[in-house]
Amino acid sequence: MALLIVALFAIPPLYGQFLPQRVQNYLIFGLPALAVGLIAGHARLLNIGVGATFGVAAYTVAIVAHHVTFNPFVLMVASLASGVIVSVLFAVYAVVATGIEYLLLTLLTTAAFASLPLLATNLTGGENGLAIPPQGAVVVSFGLDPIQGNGFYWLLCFITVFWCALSSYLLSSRAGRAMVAIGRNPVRAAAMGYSVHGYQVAVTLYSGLIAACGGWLYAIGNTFVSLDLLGLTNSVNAVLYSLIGGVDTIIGPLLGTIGLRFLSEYSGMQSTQSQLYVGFALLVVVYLLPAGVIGGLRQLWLLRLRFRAQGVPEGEEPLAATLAREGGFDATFGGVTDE
Amino acid sequence: MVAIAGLLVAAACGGGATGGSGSTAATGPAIKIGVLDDQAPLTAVEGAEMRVNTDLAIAQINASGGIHGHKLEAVYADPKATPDQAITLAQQLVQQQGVDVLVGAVLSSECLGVENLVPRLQVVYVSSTGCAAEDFTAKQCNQYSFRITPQGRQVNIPLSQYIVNSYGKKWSIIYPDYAFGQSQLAAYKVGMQAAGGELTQIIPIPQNETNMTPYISKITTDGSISGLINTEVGADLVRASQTLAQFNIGAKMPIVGVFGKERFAGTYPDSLTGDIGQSPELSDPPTENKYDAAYHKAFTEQLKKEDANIVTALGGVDKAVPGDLGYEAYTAITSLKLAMNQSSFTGKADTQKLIKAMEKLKVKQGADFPGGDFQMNASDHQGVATTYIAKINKQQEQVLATLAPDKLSLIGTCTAK
Amino acid sequence: MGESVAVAALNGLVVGASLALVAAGLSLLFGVLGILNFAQGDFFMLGAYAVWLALANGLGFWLGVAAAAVVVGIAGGLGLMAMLWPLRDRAHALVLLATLALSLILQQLASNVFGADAKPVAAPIDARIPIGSHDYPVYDLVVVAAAAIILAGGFVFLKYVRYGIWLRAVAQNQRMASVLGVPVFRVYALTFVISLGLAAVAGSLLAPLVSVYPTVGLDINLNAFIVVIAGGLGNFRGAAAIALALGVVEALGAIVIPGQAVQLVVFGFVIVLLIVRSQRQRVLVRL
Repeated sequence: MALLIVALFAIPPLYGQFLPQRVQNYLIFGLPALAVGLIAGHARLLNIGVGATFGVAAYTVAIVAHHVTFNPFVLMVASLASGVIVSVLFAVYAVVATGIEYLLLTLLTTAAFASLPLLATNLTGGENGLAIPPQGAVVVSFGLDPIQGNGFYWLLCFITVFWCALSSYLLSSRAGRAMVAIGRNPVRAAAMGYSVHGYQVAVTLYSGLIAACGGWLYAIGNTFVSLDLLGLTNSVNAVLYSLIGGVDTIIGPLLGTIGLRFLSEYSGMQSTQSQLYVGFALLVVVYLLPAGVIGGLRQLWLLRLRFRAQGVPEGEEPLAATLAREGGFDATFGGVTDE
Repeated sequence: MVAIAGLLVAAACGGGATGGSGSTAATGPAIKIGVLDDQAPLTAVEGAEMRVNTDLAIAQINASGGIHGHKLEAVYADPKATPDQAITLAQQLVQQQGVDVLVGAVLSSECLGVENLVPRLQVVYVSSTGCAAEDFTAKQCNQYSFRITPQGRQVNIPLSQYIVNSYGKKWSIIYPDYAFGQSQLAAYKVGMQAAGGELTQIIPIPQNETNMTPYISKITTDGSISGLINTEVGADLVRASQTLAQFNIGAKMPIVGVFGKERFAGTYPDSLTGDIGQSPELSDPPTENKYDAAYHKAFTEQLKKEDANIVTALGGVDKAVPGDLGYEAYTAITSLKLAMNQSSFTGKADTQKLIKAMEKLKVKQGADFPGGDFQMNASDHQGVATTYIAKINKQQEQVLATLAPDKLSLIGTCTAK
Repeated sequence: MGESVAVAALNGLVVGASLALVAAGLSLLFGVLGILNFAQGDFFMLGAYAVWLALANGLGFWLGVAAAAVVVGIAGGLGLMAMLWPLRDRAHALVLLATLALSLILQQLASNVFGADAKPVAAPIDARIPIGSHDYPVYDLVVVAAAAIILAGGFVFLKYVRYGIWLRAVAQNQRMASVLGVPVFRVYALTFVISLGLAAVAGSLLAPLVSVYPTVGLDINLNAFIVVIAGGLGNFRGAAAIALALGVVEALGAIVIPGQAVQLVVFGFVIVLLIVRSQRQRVLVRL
C-alpha cells in the first residue's frame, strides 16, 4: 500500500504528458465512488444520491465564487457544509425507509435536484452552467493551478489518501465493524444492542462529506459547473465505478473510476461508438466479475491458495485456503447481497 | 497511455471549388485542429454534420496547398454531450495532443465550459455546430473565443420586424423552458417591442417534455393572434411540430421558427409546409448560387467517404444536406483558414496574430462562405452573416427576404479581452 | 376559462393514459420478479420504431402496433429474460447494472440503424373535434380509449384468466406457488413478454405524440418510475390510477404554474407518499 501511495504521488508528475491532469480527474470522481462503496458496500444502503451531494457542493463553490468571494477557505467550508446538509436528507431516508424504497427515495430526490438550478437561472446559469470567472481561477484553489504544474495534483493525492486511510481506519474500528454488521443483518445487530439508525445516519453523513469533498475539488479544478453534475447520470456513474472496482473495498471504487473513465475517454477518441463499448464492458463486469475487479482478484488469489493447499494435510493449510476450499467466500457479490 | 487519435484527411478529394489557385504540395509540420465532436445519440445529427463538414473543409484546404505549406490535421475527441468531458478533452487536446486551435462542442454548456478554459490554455477556440447560447459572446466572451454564425437576438430581432410587418402585431410563443429558450424569449420580446408588436401569449414547455398536448392546446386560435413563434429545437422541435399539426394550428396562423432539412434527415415533414424560418444557409441552394451548388456537391462527395453511422444520422447520401448545422462547421474551418493565411499562422506560438486576423475577417460570398457575406465583430468576437428568411413549401424553401450582415443586431455588450 | 379547463382535463386524461400504459409493464415486472428495469423506456423506443418502420414500408399504423406488441414483446421479453435469468439470485445492484448496460447498447444500436434524428410519425386518424375555439385531435382520445381497453384487459387477465391468477400467485409467494403446481418458469417468461409488450405498445401508440428517436426512452423512463413508485411497487391498478391522477394534476396545474415547478411539485408529492407508505408495514404485493 505504501508503494502504491508513493507511485501515485511520484509517477504521473515524473511521466508528465497530461498524465497528472488525467489522474486528477479520476481522483475527483473517485471520491463519490468511494462514498458509494462505503454506504452501499459496507453499510448496505444503496444510495443513488451521491451525485446530488457532489453536484450541490460543486454548485455552491461556483455560486459563491461567482457572486460573493474567491476566498478558498470560505468556498471549501461552504461547499462541504452544503454537501452535508444534503446528506442529512438522505440520512432521514435511511431512518424512514429500507431496501428498494430507500433506493427509490434517493433516486427521486436526485432527479428533483437536477431540476433545481432551472428555477433560478440568474443565480445558477440554468442549463448553460456557471463558470468561476477567470480572474479567480487559481485563487479558489489556494493558488495551485489545476492545469499547470503539479501542486494541485499533489493536493488531490493527499486528500484522496487521507479519505482512504481514514475510511480504512474507521472500518477496522469497532464502530466500523458494527456498521458492517448492521448492513448485513440489522435485526441481529439491533438485538445485540447497536443503534441501527444511529450508525446509518453516521455513515450517510460521512459518505456525504466525502462526496461533497469531490464536488468541491471538481469546482475548483474545472472552474465550471453544469446541470449534469446534479443529475442521475453522475450518481449512477458513481455507483457503476464502485461496483466495477469492488464496492466492498476501499481501493476498488477508485480503480473502477479509473478503468471506466479511461475506457470512455479512450473509446471516444477512437470511435463514434463509445457508448456501445461502455455498455458491453458493463455486461462483462456483471457476468464475469460480479464482485468487481478487486473482488475478482481476491477470488483468484483464494483459488490459488486452494490449489496450492491440495494435498496438504488438514490442520496444516492456511485458513484462507480452507475457506476457499469450503466455499466460504460466497457471501460478497460486490458487497451487496440479497440477505 | 492513450494513443494519439488523429484523423489524417486525404488530400485531393473529387469535390467542388476551393479558394486555392493550384495544388502546391503542402510541406512543413501540420497545423493541428482539435475538434470536440459529440457523437452521443442526443447530438448525433449535429456531431455528424460537424464531422463531415470539418473533414470537407480540411480536405479542400489541404488540396490547395494547406496554410503556407502546412497541412491541416483534425484531431477528433468525443465529449459525449457531457460538459466535464468537453473540458477535460479540450485540455487533453491542447496539452497532450498539442493541437494549435480548438473547435467544436455542440451543447451550450459544453462550449461555455471550454470557452471559460481557453484563456488559460491560450489557444484560439471557434465554436462549430451548435453552441447556440447567447452568453457565449453576449456575456462570457474573451479574446480567444470566436463564434462565426449569428445567434439569438442577432437574427430574432430583424425577423420579428419582418413578421410583424407581414402578418400582424400579436404573437404567441412556445419556448423550451431552459436557458436557450429563455434567451430566445428575451430576444423576441425585444424584437417585438422594436417592431411595434407584442408577445401576447407566452407558453414555456419543460425541457424534454414528451407529451406537448397540454401546452400546444393552450395556443389561442380564435383569430386574435397573428401567428405563433416556435423556438423548440432537436427532438422537442419535431414533437412540437407534430402536435401543432394535430391541432391544426398551421392552418389557422403562420408558424415561425422551424427551419433546416438537416434536422429532419434531409426531408421536411408535410406538416411543416407554410412554416417560416431564418438561416445563413438554405437546405437546397438557389440555382443561381454557384458557390453553394459547389459546396453541396462537395458535401455529398465527402459524405460518401464517411462512416456508415455518420451517413445514417444524416438520412443517407441521397437526402443529406449540410443545412445551417453543417454550414456552421464548414465556415468555422474556412474562417480559420482565411485568418491563418492572413497571419502566416504556423502553430500555437502565433495565437495572438491569429486572434488579430480573426477579428478583422470580412469576406464576400465565395467558396469559403458560399451562403453569403460574412464579417467578424472585433469587440465581442461574434460573426454576422447574410441571413435568409424563407418559407417551407413541401420540400422547397422560398426566400422571402435577405438580410445583409449589417442588418443584424448586436448580440450583447461583451468586450472580448 | 371553462373551455381551458375542459381542454386541460382532456389533456390530463391523454397524459395520464400514456403514463399508465408505460408504467403498467414496469409495475408488472417489479411485482412478479422484483426487477426494476432501467431499459423499459428503450423497449418503448423500439415499439415506436416498429410503427415508424411499418409506415415507412407502407404497412399501416395498426399493423405496426401489432408488430410492436408481438415482435418486441416476445423477442425483447425472452431476450431480457435470458439476460437476467443468471442474475436472479444476485444483488439488486447487478440487475440494475445489467439493465443500464442494455439501455446504453440499445440506444446506440438504434442510432446506428435508424439514425439519430427525431422522426415524426403521422397519426392514423386526422380528424379533430371542436371544443370551443380549439380543434382537439381525435387520435388523442383514441389513445385514452386504447389505454383504457388495455388496462381493463390487464385487470381481467390478472383476475380471471388462469395464467393471470398464476402470475399473482407467483408474485405473492413464488415457493408456495411452485409447490402447488404453478409452472413458475413459464409465468416468469410470460411476465417478461407482457411487460415489454406493454412498453412496446405504449411506444407505438404514443409515437404520433412524442415522435421517435433513440433516446426517447430516457425521457419516458423517469415519469414511468415516478408513477410506479407512487402507485405502489407491484400494484398494477395503483400504477394505472396514479398515472391518470398525475396526468390530470399536471395538465390542470400547467394552466397556472410553470411546467418546471409542476414537475418539482410532483417529485415532492411522490417522495412524501413514499416516506409515508414505508412507515406502514409492507403488505403482500397486490396486482
